[in-house]
Amino acid sequence: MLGEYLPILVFLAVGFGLAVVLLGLGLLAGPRRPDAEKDSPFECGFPAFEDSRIKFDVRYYLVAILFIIFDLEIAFLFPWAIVLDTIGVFGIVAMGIFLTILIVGFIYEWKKGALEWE
Amino acid sequence: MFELDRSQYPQKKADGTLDIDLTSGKYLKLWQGPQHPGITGNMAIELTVCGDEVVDATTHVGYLHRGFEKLMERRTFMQCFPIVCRICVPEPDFNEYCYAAAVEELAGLEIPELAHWIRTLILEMGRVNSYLMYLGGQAGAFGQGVIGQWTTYVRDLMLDRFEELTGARIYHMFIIPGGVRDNLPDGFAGRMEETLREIESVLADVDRVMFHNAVFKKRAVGVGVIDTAWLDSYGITGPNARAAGVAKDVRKDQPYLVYPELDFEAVTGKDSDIYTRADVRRRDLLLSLDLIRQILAKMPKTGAVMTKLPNVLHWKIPRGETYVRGECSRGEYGYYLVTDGSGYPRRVNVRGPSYTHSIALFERMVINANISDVAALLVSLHTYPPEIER
Amino acid sequence: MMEILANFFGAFLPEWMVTLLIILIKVVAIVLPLILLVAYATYAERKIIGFMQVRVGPNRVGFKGLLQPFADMFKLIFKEIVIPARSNRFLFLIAPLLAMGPAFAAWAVIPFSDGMVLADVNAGLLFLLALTSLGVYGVIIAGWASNSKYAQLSALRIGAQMVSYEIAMGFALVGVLMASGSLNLGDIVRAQSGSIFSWFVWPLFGLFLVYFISGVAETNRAPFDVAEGESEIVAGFHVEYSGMAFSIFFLAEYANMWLIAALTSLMFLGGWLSPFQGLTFLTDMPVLGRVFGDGIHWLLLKASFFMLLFFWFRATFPRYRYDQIMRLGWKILIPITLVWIFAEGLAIALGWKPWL
Repeated sequence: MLGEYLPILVFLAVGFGLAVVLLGLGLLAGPRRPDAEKDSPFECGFPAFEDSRIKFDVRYYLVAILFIIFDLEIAFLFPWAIVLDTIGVFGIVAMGIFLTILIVGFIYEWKKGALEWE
Repeated sequence: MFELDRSQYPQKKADGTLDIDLTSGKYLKLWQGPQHPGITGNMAIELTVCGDEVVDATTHVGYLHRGFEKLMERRTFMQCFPIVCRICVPEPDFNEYCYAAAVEELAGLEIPELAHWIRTLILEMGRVNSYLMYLGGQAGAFGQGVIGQWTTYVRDLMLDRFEELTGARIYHMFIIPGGVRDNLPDGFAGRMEETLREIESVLADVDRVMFHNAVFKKRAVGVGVIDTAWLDSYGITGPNARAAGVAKDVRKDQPYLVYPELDFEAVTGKDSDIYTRADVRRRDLLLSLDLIRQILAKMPKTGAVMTKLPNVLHWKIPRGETYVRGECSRGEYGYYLVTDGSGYPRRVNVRGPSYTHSIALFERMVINANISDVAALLVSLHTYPPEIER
Repeated sequence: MMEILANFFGAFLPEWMVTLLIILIKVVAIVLPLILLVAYATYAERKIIGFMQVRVGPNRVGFKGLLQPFADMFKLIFKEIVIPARSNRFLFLIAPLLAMGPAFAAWAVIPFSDGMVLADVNAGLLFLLALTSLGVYGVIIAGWASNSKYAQLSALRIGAQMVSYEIAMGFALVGVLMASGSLNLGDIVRAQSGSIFSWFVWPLFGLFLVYFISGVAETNRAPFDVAEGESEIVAGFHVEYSGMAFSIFFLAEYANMWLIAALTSLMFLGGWLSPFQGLTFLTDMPVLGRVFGDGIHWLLLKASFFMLLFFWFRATFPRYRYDQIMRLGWKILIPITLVWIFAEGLAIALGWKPWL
């Protein structure tokens, strides 16, 4: 069973390995002539005012939270979708209740303005 | 009317500056330009953003200042003529015309009839070029690259016409004080007609792909509205004013050259957003194509194109001052010329529409705008940085 | 052929090494054509957009510019990789790897033809969903490590955008799963066999659109390319990257585009299945039968069609504004998928399966 996943592991290693090789090739073959101007962050030609690692807008945070909720929902839906044939009406009703709760939450977010970007 | 909705934005301090504490994490300073792919030409905008919204903006110009007005004070009247076209790269002919007209007025020169027609033709051709460049730029500011390529292609055809007429593609130096340098070459009208047809067919495509594009409408409709109350206080002219429904067009209001003999109406819009401004310019472009046809049909075919000038090396113009205005593709273009009886201009002041549009108006408009719309807003005002700084 | 190789190596190598070697050979057999596809996707993009923009595109290197991708590659190898002084060196260099690894590894579960799949795992779709989510790390880390404001803003935008569209994408996948009853990609394609009308694109047309639109958004392509919107935040998260480090992001982006194109064809357009399926007079012809019959060429053709759409969008669409993208994702695509899944579930419960 797990043996089937070995090729995936190998593929992942090859993918990363390829990237490492390409990057290493670039680092080796390319010149390396640093100077202060070149190595400063791009700021449209001006010296950077401050560190860029700043506090962010809270909306990105909200989206991240919403994502976790909905992604979990999808994870629940996956096994359900596969066995839908065998569990029949009971499955539909159960998932209907589950989805309704989530959709109510979704509507609540919508009305609360969590999805407004403006 | 100039008060902004600043309920959740920084308040003003006693000295009039905004109370922006960058360390609070609420605001971020962001430069756009001069080395920024979204900014037309060399200028910089210093933005302070809160989230995605701009709360404060300062434009920084001066990267392209060449000091034309001062240069001209130490050049004879004829020596000034070849440098004025350098003031504005994409539409240089207006500088030549305004300068020539101002000099002629003060020197009391009478210009032959044919020269007037050819000047009008050149100005309209330059307007077509400038608008074509704008359409590409406006689409490009929204990330739609294809329009710029198409309009560049037809603009190149128009440059070919310029080349056969004037011998140059960008800086034509054709409208000289005293007239124009030459009559039209043989068969010019026929080749021009082909070019006009090609431009019209490409414009039909532009209309389909750009003006009827759902995403373009989503980005441009209702964004960057210019209040009609600002028109006078910010000195807004040209298509920017016409898109707000005010038929401000020097060609109509104070006709010059042969415009009284041409049949046209000033193009106006009413919503005054980016979409309307683009649409007004597109229709104005079509109007220019029509005007070129009218000029070629109505103009006399033969005649003198130059008056007799005095020896230009010792050309002295009596004391006087004048202001010559005209309607360029971006708004009212004017030259204020003062002479003091010597061989040099005492003072030349260029009134370029880009200056008022892209500094005062733009700084005002960009506040509360989305950071993604900044470049598109600037382009929609149709300004050319070389003209701002001269 | 694999048996011959296995026997050959088995003569002098221990068994586990033989297994590993065989797998490696298969992986390379996928990765090399993939890199070629990616390279020629960049060439095709430049040519196609060039033609749409009344110019000819690259035509100098090789016949009709066909060697252009390699010329670009060699040029980029010999370019300096500038590491900004204030960046986090380690994260700065690790970010491209994190972008490229998942973009390539996802191909492990893609069935190219009947039985032509590296890892025929049962949870193939879950694996894909997991790997495409991993891609966002490379981008976010790149943006953060660069210590540049444009990169930082872009990383945030891309993070929010990718997770938002992943939800719509996941819901669209649930619809596919309900119709096929399997997480295995091969089984999903086999569930669509029969004729061209058994493809899922017909009963799941809305989900198909949602899936492809989300795919375009996931890969940060026009009109959803705000993360790289050059008229706003210069080049976004890779503004500080140069040389090979930049081109790895580029490779990852195009590999992801191919992945989305291939997945859309697999899940909605019957993958390797021929559109002439069922028309036996065509598929039974002596030589042409192979062309008209099922095979990898159909997958390639369908995926290429979606790649063409990617390029076409880029040439003709303006960019959405950021808030419009979020609105489209949350307020239009997600409700559509929810309603569609409800209706589909109801249809299945009532035993009404028009697609079977």
